[in-house]
Amino acid sequence: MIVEDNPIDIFINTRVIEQSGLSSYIISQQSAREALHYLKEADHNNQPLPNLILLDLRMPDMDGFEFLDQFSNLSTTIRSACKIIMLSSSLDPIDDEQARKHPDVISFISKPLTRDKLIALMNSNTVEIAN
Amino acid sequence: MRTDFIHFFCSEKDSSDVREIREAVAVPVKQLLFDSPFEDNQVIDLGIAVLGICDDSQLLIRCSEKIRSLNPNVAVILYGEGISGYLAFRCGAVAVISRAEQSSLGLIVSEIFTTQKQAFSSLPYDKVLDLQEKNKELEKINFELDRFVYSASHDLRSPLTSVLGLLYLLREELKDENALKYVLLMEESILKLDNIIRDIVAYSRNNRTEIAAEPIRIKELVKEVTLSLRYLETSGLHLNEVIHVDDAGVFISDKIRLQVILNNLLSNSVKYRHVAKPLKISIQSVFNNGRLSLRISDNGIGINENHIGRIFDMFYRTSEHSTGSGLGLYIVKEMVKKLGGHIEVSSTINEGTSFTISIPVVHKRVLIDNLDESN
Repeated sequence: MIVEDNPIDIFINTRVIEQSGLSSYIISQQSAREALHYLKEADHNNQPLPNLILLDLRMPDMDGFEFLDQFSNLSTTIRSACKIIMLSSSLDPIDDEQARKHPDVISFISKPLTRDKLIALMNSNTVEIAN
Repeated sequence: MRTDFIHFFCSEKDSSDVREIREAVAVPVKQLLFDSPFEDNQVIDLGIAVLGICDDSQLLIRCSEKIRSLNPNVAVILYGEGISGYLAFRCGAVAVISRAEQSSLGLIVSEIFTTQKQAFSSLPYDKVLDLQEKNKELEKINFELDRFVYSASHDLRSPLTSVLGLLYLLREELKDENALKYVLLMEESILKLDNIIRDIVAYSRNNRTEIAAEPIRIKELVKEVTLSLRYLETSGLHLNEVIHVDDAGVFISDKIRLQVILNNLLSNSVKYRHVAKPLKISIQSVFNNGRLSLRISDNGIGINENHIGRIFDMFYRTSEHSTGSGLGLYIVKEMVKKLGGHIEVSSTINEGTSFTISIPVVHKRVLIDNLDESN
């Protein structure tokens, strides 16, 4: 699942994931609120949960860190199913540090997402992404 | 007998009769710590804090730390029996008096005020308060500026990273070689712009932020830096294969600043490499007398002696072929200066360039020795 307010970046991230062959089932949410709503609904209706969430850091209304705070309060089913990668164009070392410290975040990638970065990350983390 | 709370503050005009003040303003230590009855500015007004000794010395230490954080100029006096030198030191006390010496408290208090007055004689007391106020304001402005720089740089970079992402995708899908050439040139221009933004952020950050201290290993630092320089690599050039590092062990310094320094020097080595020979970079680190000497040498095109005296100047670019912003080496010099060190350069045309940085650091071995001593 891609959580990203910028449609161009949604397009880029979707194409990169497709090209890397990581997953062919990709959904995107244009706000953190919609993403949280989606996760809760899917959990409630016993629908499949995303294995990987690509989370943008700076978004209007609710940003990536606020999403993480809310995510921590979700059910253990959701928390154990979804691994989170944070994405940002930020150069602020505090953002990087704060993201990496979060227990649900497996990595922090500086934008743009590329196939090489994604594959390198998947090789270093044993994340299984089912289609 | 030890009492569990007595402690009191006195201000200058009241110092004539400490006993009365004690009865008037005595506040239990616990109350001061957990729900202070004082407003911040009231504590700033106080020149002297008298802390009555209680059984809980940790509580006393925290209390004096709190008072001194509210007003760094406050003179702390400990009052009571059996006060150890260690406790007085931890509390930052200027005087220790026992109950038997209570009568001399007034004398000590007036002595302290005289010394404080001498220290501030060129500045009236309200001026000091004014300066403290101004200092707080500046700290706030600095903090806001810091946020502004990161926020603005993020907003500038966002569209750039989108364009870069699209170009990377385009590169994968393009068959036409001419078009591919255009895409690569576009990529190069955008990366150049991105580097200028990074330079500006690094420069502004260096001026405003305090020096950090964390354990560092040159080998690991170089590994991180080469990862971020991967965009400079070409098909025949892999940075981790051309850089040789002599690692001298763990030391304590400012990691982010050293990262920027290495990043700028190594990217120069790559940009100004010699076309006729394979690039070689060597990084040597040596500890000597509390200083780290870091030497970064390459076998590149070298710097003309007409230019070498000015390469650390702001916006200085050696020729029209220089691709950077003219800020890179200026930032390196400023950062080394901020770390309390100095940088030297030597270069021979067509042979190579070598930069030597010397900065004061704490070497891990020294840390361990000191720990052993204190145990």
